[in-house]
Amino acid sequence: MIGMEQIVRRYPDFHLEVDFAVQKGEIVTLLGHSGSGKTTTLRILAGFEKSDTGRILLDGEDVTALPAQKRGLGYVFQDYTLFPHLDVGENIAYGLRVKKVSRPEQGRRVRELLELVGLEGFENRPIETLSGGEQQRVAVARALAPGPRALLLDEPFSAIDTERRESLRRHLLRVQRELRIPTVFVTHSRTEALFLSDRILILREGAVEDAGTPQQLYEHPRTEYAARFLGAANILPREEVLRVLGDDPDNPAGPALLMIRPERVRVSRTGPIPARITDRAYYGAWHEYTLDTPLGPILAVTGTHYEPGAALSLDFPREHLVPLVSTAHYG
Amino acid sequence: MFRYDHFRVTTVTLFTIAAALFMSGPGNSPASAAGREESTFAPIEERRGETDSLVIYGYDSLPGTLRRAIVAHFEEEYGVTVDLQRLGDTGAVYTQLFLERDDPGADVVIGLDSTFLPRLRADRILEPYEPSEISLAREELLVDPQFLAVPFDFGYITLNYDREELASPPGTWNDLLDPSLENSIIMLNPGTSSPGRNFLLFTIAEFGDGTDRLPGRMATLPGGRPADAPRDYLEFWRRLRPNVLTVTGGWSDGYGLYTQGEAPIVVSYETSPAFHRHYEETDRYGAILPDGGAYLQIEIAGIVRGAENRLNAERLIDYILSREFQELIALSQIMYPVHPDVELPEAFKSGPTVERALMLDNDLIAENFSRWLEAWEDVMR
Amino acid sequence: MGRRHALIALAFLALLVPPVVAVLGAGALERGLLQWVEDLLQVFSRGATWRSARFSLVQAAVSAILSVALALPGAYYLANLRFPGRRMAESLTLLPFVMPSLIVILAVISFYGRAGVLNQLLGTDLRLVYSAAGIILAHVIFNYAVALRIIAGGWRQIDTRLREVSLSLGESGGSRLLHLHAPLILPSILTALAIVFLYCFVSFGVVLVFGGVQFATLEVRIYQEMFTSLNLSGAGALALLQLAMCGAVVILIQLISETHRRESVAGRRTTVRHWASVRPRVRLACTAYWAVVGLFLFAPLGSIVLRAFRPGAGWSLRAFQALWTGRIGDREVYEIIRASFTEILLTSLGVALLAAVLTVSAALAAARALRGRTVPWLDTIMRMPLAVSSVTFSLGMRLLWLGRFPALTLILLTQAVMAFPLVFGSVRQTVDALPRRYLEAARSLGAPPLFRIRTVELPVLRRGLVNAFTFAFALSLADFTAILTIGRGEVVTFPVAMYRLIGFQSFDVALALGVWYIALVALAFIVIDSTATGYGRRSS
Repeated sequence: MIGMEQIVRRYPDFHLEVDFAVQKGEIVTLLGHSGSGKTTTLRILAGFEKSDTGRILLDGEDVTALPAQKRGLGYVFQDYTLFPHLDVGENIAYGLRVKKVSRPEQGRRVRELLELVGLEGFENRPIETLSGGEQQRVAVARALAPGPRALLLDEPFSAIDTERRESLRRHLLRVQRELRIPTVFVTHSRTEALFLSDRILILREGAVEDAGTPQQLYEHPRTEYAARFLGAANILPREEVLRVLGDDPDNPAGPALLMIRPERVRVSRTGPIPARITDRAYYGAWHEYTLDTPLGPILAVTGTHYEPGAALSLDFPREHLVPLVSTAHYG
Repeated sequence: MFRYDHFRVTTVTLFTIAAALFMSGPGNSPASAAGREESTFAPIEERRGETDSLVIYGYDSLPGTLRRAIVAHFEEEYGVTVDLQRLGDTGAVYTQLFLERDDPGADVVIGLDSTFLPRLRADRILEPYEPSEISLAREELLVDPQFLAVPFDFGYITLNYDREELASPPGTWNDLLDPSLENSIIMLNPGTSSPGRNFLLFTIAEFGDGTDRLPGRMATLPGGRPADAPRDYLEFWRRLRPNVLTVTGGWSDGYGLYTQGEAPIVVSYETSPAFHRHYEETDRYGAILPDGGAYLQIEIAGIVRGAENRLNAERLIDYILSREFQELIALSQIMYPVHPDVELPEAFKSGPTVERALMLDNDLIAENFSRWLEAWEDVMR
Repeated sequence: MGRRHALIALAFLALLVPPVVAVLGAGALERGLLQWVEDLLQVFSRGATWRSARFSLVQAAVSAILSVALALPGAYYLANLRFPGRRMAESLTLLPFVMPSLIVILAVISFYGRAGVLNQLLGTDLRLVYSAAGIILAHVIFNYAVALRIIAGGWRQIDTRLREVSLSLGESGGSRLLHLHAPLILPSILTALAIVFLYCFVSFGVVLVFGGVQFATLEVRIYQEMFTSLNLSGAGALALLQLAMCGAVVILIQLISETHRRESVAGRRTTVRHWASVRPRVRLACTAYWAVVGLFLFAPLGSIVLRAFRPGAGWSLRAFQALWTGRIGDREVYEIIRASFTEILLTSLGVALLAAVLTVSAALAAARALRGRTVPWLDTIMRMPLAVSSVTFSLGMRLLWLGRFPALTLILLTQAVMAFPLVFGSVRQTVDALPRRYLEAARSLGAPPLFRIRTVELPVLRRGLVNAFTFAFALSLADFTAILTIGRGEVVTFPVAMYRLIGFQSFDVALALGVWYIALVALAFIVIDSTATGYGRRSS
């Protein structure tokens, strides 16, 4: 278990405040735009930076005062930061050397880890001959070698080309599941976050905006910001939606906004909301339509093909209308 | 002989002297030392008992030959252990003596220049001893009538020339002014070099400084003062200037240029050619004695006031003046022994002999040197 | 962090300031304040003082400009082109810098002098050397390597991707040099100018030989004041004036580097182009440049070295035999030097090695504490030794501490303080080039501080640190003042030994020893340089 309790860090122009825990075997993602504080959080966790107040807990032990090298956390950097003067095997063995593990044992562990990350036979390769994906896997192997109590990943896929990302993600997930190591993953990509995480924390300007499992967050975000971050969303004023749907506002004091995901919008020839297609995009498995309605433009996704300009009707199934806290005041 | 005159060494030493003096507290500088309270030592007679040691201060370049001779002599004759400490250049030796003047660490000092005498006297650093052998030394070397110090060796500052570049060397001051010698002389800056300073004093002694107090020795030449001779040292230098190739800061610099063939004439020691004759077996270099003259430089030895090993100190002074020791001087110091009848090595005999040894009074120098130097600089710049 | 900076500054000032105050303040202590002020005014009212101040300024400025101009193409080639003998060129150009000033001056004269090689070849009687030109010539030979290293260091910091961008935009080479490189290396050029200026400003030996009376610098005046009248307050006044002028230059460097500071860009890439990959024209220019510089620096040194093989008239090894047999006639060579050859060798190399280790370690510690951060006032403090004359500082160290600490310790400390600004500058560039995250990677793997330094920093920074080490080594070898002042003649290095032989009129034997010195120092440079192989060589 690794956790941050009421961690606060103040900078002249930035204020960070987080509180979360990661259980054994769990992957928790810190998701946010650049400048949201996600990397800083990770660096405080790792011990590279200090917090002003709060505690960092590792398996119930308070490690706030421990320097980074005594925390036993594996860290994978955005650009991997493999030591340029060491080869692949030496990079992976670095943490073992620190622990004064015997040479033969080092070699055994290195081979084991290379196998784990799918790079058998790479021991003696110089770093500069590796591709980005290979470097990433070496970096993961290096972080895992000393048997860390948790794994911290800082945007490990950002330097990888899109085609290779998917397989690397699966690979990382497999490794993590196999080792059951608590993992904190920092990313700005919602795809990666949704795919890899057990839980996601959305960070915004140094504070946790929303948190939950990927499904919870995607389907029932709490705020407008979280709803938009995790995917395309139709966000509409509650009163107007209810009026168009012919429902009474059951709770007039509730949130002012309702959200419905495009794939939940029911598109048909009949329905309470008249709509006309103004734009269309084809993704193979599905179509994405932009429709003009009395509520304004609505985005809808469906497998059915319609001609542009076709007059259609929309319906919003009640169970998929999510009330949102407006975050407009955040600016 | 002290030739180790590279700037850094001496700058440092001089700074050290001055700073050390000032740091020892206000009012203790040499000038005011005479007025301070006397420290008392036991009378000399009470300190003349047999002891088994002797401490000597000397300068850095004191040759090993002389050191070994002294050590062996005391070991064999008296069973006395000699501790000869070499403290840097002459300035450093003086500083050490001055700082210890109330509690002397040494019994004898050897190698100070006679120009230190006024200061040694004023600061009461030495105590008198008149050795019986002193009568054997050349009379002109007995610079101290109170016998606080005795001459140890001596030499002359003058000009040297390179025979390969200059077939007939100038013999008189007037010859030096000849236009044929244009850009032929390397001078040393009197403001920064001891030999340079002595050569300036040489010209002042010869031509006078234009005042009645110092008329110049030219007039005492056998033929009297030549009609067209410079009226004072400044006129001499003004007329010499076209013949000066450069003025270097130290003897090493100037002599280096000279032996490299940059100019055929340089300021140096009268004995420098003897060095080349003896050690390099070449007769390429010679000394110029303008009108038979050269400037006298005397190195002295004396017993430190309050010396604990007074008897051994006296024995050392006696030994220094002995024929046995004086015979070692020429080749080790490249200077002359103070005994006129000590046989000189061959290399020292082939040059012309100095007929007129000039030397200015030390007090006169102390009083006027800054003025002389400034005026000289105005002529030369 | 603020406290750590304050501690570094305090430690540094505690080392630097007391000796300087002790020396400069001695005059005030002895004369009383009023009299002292009167002495100062007297010195400042003399025409000669201001003449010297003006001459110091002008010759230093001209020497600095010429040194930098000559070093500029060399620095470019060192940083950007992997030409054959690149490492050699960087080390060996330091040779003139570590020679005793008298030897370099005699070398200049034996080449450019009246009876010099040049006049003999041309059949002329040029006496240019006996003017300000001689002073400037010697200063450029001395300080070329200093300018070269500082500017090359700056050039190495330029991201090669910028060149690639410029290429992709179709910019011409000349325009690239003017609009891209020039603004980026300007700070290094200005720093080099200022540092060479300071070295020349307090120059003494060179000025004395060539200058004589006409061209006296302030340093010469200070010495004269002491030599002729033991006038400490007069000398102190001149020293203060000099300190003030040098201090102003140091502050100027600070202001310049302030306004031109650029944060280093993360992920910067610096690669050096391969010799084979550049156009023949460029190769020709590079070869021609190094041939000219080699000739300029080493022809004079070579011509003086020859003198060691021609004692008297003909060719002979007599001077070397004297070193071997230990005798010149009936004098013993090592008695004159007052140390054996082995002792000289061990002392010279030992002191230089220890001083370099000390200087580089201190610079490394300071650079690590400041890594990537800009603390202007701290930088100013670190540069302060540049303004202090080495004579003043050495003397202060001796007066204050000799007797309480071993002479060797004080010599090493003095040399380290005097060399610190230059070595720190070079180490800092190196350290800042290693992104912090490499160390964080090591920390996250559990590596304690020393282990990190040993396994990550030193190997990755080896090339840069070895460069700084060579520089520190050379600065220590070149030191003569601290060795003599604090060593009181007991510490005998090659330059001291050479001066002792010259003092005994044995120029030839001194030069023979000089030949040994040159050979051994060159060998030391090569050995030190060979420790830089490995990662650094592979990638830079």
